[in-house]
Amino acid sequence: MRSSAQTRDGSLRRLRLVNRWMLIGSVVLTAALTAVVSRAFPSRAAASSHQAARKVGHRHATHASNHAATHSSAPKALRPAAQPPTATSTPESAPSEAASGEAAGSPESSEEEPAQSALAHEAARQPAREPAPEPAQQAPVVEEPAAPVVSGGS
Amino acid sequence: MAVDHTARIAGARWPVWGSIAVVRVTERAALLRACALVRAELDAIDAACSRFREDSEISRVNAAHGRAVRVGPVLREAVALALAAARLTDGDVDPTVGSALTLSGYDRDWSLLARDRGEPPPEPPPTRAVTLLALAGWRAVELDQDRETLRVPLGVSLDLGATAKALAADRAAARVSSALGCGVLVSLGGDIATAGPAPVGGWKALVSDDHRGCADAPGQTVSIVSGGLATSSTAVRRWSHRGQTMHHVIDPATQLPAIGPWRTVSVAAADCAQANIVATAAIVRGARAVTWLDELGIAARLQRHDGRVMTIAGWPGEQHDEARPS
Repeated sequence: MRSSAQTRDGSLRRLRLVNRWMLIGSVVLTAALTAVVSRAFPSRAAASSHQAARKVGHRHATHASNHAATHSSAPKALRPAAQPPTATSTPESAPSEAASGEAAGSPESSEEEPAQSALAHEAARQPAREPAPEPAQQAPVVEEPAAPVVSGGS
Repeated sequence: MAVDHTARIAGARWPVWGSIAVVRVTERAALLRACALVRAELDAIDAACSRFREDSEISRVNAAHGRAVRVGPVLREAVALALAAARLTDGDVDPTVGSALTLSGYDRDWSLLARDRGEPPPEPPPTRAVTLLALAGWRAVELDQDRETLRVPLGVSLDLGATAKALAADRAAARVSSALGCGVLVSLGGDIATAGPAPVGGWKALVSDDHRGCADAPGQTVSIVSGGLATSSTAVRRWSHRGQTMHHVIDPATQLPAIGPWRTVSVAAADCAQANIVATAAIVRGARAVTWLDELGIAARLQRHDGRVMTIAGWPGEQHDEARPS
């Protein structure tokens, strides 16, 4: 009788131990799963709050700062132009851009040279608001006529 | 604000990044300085964001095998913009489609690709696991602005082409206007940014399939006085890969060139970067883009593959506009 009571008590102790470990295990497993999910879907973490993300860990915080883009000029929403485009009459009757000689990569035409040097002379006299790099650059800059700028696929 | 500088408008152009850069200013005297400033800005963006340069910052990040890499402010700004683009378009514009572009044969600068079309296509990815990692997409990219680091998981490759060019145009225009105090238009491969006072009547732009087209190419001429204008098209940068015709607008959902009703989409937005984001997303979204653009209130012109045109949110209509669904 006494030994059966001891057996029962022993079994209960073991059960209590097993329960305790199962409880600890489930807490650890939940934490691990939470970390995995929040890593896989960082925007959810960012949505909850930047502060909450920091509590979870530094890595999550980086995601949050990433998507909130608080340190950059990245847009928070897509915004229309202050004024939509307006219709314009047909392009001005200027020679086409290809005719400027740029398409073939040819050097500036002789007609453009005086204009360039005049521009350079004016530029030299014009005071700049901030120091700008020297105008001299690698490739030749070719003047173009006042035709519309083409916005197309590239 | 518009200023009557029409007589003093000057412009210049030069080839850049396999496309064309155009600079126009409202003060003739400012042209050369403006060009120098724009070139400096393009150099900075190229050194940070070009995936075709082995020595660029982004190439170092892509080759870091999942390790965090310390990066400079230009790349951080470009990546922050690219991640914002992904967030604002629900992933339709995703900077992690670099792997898909490479696998579809767009693995070098466009000018070189056009020259070397006879070369064998790139090898398929080494393992299925790497492909699965790539599916994690933009959400797996970690940009830490405080530590100034960027990390992309192993198997993921960043490609900022969709947004970096537009960002460069915005930055260059802002820098010119701020430094020289004049109105300026900067176009990089057809992505147009403006800053400062516009000339009377605005800046004239022809929206067309290809930014290398002539002023009399098919399209529509419009005027803008501020912000940005961008056009995305599947009619350009097409190549053949494994017997299939490819183009550079990748649908992140399929990792393949986007299939949809629109051939060319032009958008006017608050700046060039946003215009570029919306135009690219509209191509990827296909027919769903109409409702989306309406909700955003962003002016757009969408051209179908058969040439029919639909205009949205105040974009000026044309004679042969397609009737909008009621």
